[in-house]
Amino acid sequence: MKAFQYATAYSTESACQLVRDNGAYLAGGNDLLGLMKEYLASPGMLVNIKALPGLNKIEQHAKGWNIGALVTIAAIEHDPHITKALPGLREAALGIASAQIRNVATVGGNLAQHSRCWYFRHRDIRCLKKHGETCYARIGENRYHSTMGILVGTHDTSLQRNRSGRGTAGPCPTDEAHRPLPERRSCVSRYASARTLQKRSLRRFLQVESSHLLCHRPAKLLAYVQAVSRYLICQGPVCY
Amino acid sequence: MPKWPTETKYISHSTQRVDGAAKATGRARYSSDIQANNWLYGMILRSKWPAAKITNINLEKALKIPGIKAAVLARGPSLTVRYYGEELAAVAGTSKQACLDALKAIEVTAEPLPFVVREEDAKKSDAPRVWQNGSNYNEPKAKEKGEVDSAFSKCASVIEGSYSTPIQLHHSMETHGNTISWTDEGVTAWSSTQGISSVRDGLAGALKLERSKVRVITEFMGGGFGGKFGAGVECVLAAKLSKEAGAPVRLMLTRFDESLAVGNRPSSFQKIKLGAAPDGTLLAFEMENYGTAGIGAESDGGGGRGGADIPAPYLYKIPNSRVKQAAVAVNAGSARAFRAPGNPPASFGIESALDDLAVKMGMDPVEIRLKNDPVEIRRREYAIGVEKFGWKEKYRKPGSSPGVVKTGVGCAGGAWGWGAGARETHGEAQINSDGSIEFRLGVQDLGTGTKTVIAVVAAELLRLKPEQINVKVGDTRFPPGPGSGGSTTCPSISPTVYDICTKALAQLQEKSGLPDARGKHWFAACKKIGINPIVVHGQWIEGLSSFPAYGVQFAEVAVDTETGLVTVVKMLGVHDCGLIVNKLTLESQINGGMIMGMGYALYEERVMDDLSGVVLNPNFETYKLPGIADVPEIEMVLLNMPERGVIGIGEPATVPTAGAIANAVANAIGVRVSSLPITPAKVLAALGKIPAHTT
Repeated sequence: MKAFQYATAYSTESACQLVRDNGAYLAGGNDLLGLMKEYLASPGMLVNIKALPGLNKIEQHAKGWNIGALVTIAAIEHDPHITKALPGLREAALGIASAQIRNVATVGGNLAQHSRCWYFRHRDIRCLKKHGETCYARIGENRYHSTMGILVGTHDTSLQRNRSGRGTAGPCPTDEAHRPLPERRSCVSRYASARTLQKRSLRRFLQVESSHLLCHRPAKLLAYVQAVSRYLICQGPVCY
Repeated sequence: MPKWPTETKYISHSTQRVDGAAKATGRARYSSDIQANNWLYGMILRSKWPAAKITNINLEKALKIPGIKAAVLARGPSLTVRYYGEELAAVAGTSKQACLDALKAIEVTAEPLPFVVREEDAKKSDAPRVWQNGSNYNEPKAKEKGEVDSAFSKCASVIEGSYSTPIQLHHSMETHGNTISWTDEGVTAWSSTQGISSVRDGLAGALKLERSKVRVITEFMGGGFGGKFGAGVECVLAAKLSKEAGAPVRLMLTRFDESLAVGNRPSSFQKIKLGAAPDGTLLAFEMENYGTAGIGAESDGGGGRGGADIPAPYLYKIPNSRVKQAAVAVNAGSARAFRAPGNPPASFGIESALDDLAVKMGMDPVEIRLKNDPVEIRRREYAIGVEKFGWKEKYRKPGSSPGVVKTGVGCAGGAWGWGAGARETHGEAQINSDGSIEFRLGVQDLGTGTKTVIAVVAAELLRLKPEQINVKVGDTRFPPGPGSGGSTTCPSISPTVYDICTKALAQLQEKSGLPDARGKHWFAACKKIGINPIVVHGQWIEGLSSFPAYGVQFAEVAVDTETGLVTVVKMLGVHDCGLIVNKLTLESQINGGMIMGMGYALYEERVMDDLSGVVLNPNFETYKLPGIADVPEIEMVLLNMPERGVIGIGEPATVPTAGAIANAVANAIGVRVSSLPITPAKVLAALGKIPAHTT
């Protein structure tokens, strides 16, 4: 990776100032560090946002839950109230990666991670998202891609494969990072209701939606849907 | 005639690995742990093109990067590359980052050529040629016996099916690589290898040095599975860098590199026709198979012939059979030997077809196997497995399991026809007057427990404790031994240690005058040796090892018919092991083999992109392996047969697994998923829930 500067922000304002044009927010770092090692992202400044106040809380209020962007996946997994009220969410959290990753991965980072597209992530492929001309995922090997029929357009992904099985144009061939955050949030929240979350069959429901993608463990997507559906990103900057 | 002792204290019992503590605490030094003086990092620049004419490679700018001490070309400045990831050049520097920067600074001028990465495309006559002087695909050669066509017409029941297996990657936990120091005295290579002698010979040849000037050391190793024989390109490049830089170079491949250029298991596309008499006796068999071993070699005349063949009809003696096989060359890294080469795809193909036939005839899958299997040991293993697994209670008619999540059971057999000891195994032991003893063998421990096996055999025969036996392996300065492949290491070293021990005891008894120098007399006898230690040389002897090995496995799965997700609930392996040397490390081999087979059945597949020609899943995020949470309960029955002598078991353990799991899936859902890996999408496609072409 390229050399970078590092700073810790203690308020949302200072975080925004520090990150400026070529900085990136660093929380768990699971996605960002991988992108940097592959030279897919080369920020000049990493702004540690783990010290931002108030973003690491899980709170229940009259209408639902607030889960802060800096809450770790492990915290969701271990929260006794979540376990009781939203077993589907806990199950999804438990299904993500490994314990080591869950301990540092944040909800915000999980939602804001860049495409898990094999073409985008490949060091020697210059795709549409890397200022190339072609979105290979549309016509190429997209069997394993982490896209979901109902949710494409919310996740930062370049391809939608619908039930007909033909690769069709997804709504977001351009760089998702430029989209305003509110739109993404509202988009997702339409699809997974609080009711769904409480159903034991949630995992199956979601796997059906993603099954044609061959993802034998679509856990990250589960967490994504579930977390977003609860309006989880409540405050503060979460994407880079 | 030499004979193994019948009453044993260590042989056939469980002894913990003699180097377990060193490995667990990190004291064990692997090739990448060697910190030779002023050592440098080495890295390889690989082709970004699946096929190209490279007209120039300019290293100048790379050499100007701070910290870079050397840069060398792999094959010269102009060459033709035939797959994505082929080696072009290498650099050595004081940090990984300097090397990465240097690789980016190397200027490569290339004219891209047309390429083909899929087997079915490469077979077409107008496909781009992988080798200019030969076609990608030659007409398959047929092997025939009996009257196949008329035999099929006499069969009561005939099935036809297409069964396919993917390219599987070795992905040893320790990647390929070496730390190499080239000085005036010669070359020392700390290699991650399955054959220290073959690395020495290969390296000496490539560097034009006397073999005696090259020393190869493999003290500890993290797996090879067939992919780590000889001096690879990365080995020769590390040596050249070391010479040019005047410093030791550590060049370990990355996980990314491992996916491209250091071997794989060939694919197979098996079209099988199988017919039986009314009682289930197999009468006729026909198979057309092709697969790819990557680019193969030019000397193959294209096609990489031979590399993709599988044994057929494998386990069964069928009076009328016709087998046509051919390999097809594609622009991808070459295949290498991979744990039981040819056998796992062969078992998957024939065992799937046999189950399909059994279903059609309304026969129990075990029953049809017992009827046709010519090997008495394997029939016995089925009988044991049926009892242990509860087959009769668990087996139901295909697809009859109720509910959304359906359960099913399956079984399959395997064989491994090698695994005998190697005559050319040498070793020595040094016995000192203080009673200490050291064994030195020029073999290597891949992680399977070779050192522990030596300690166990020696401890048994000398009536000492395994921890009293000092074992040194993995150094070409020791008496030479064979490469570790074909499950031959254990049957090679055990008789060798037997020979050493017999000779050592004879000498010790003679020198000490004691009639028995073993056990409690050991130290008294050793005291009388005097200043000069006893050094005895031994060699592999006949009568203490044999082959082949068989095995059967059973699997129970749960298949979610809404999501297509397959969960393996239980696996049972029944294997004959000859004389079991160390039960604990044997169990590790069976566990590992079955988990690897499970990966082959459900997860693993190298995905090539036909748009760009690259390997699309060159990491463990996208190349799926069974994680610890995926691994089911594994039970095993190990048949100890001391009368057969020592038999290697590393390979048989992985042969039947995929077939057993595939048959269990078919039993659960009532339809066959005939292509590995059995992904959720393929399950749903087989159930008609999504279009087949989406998988």
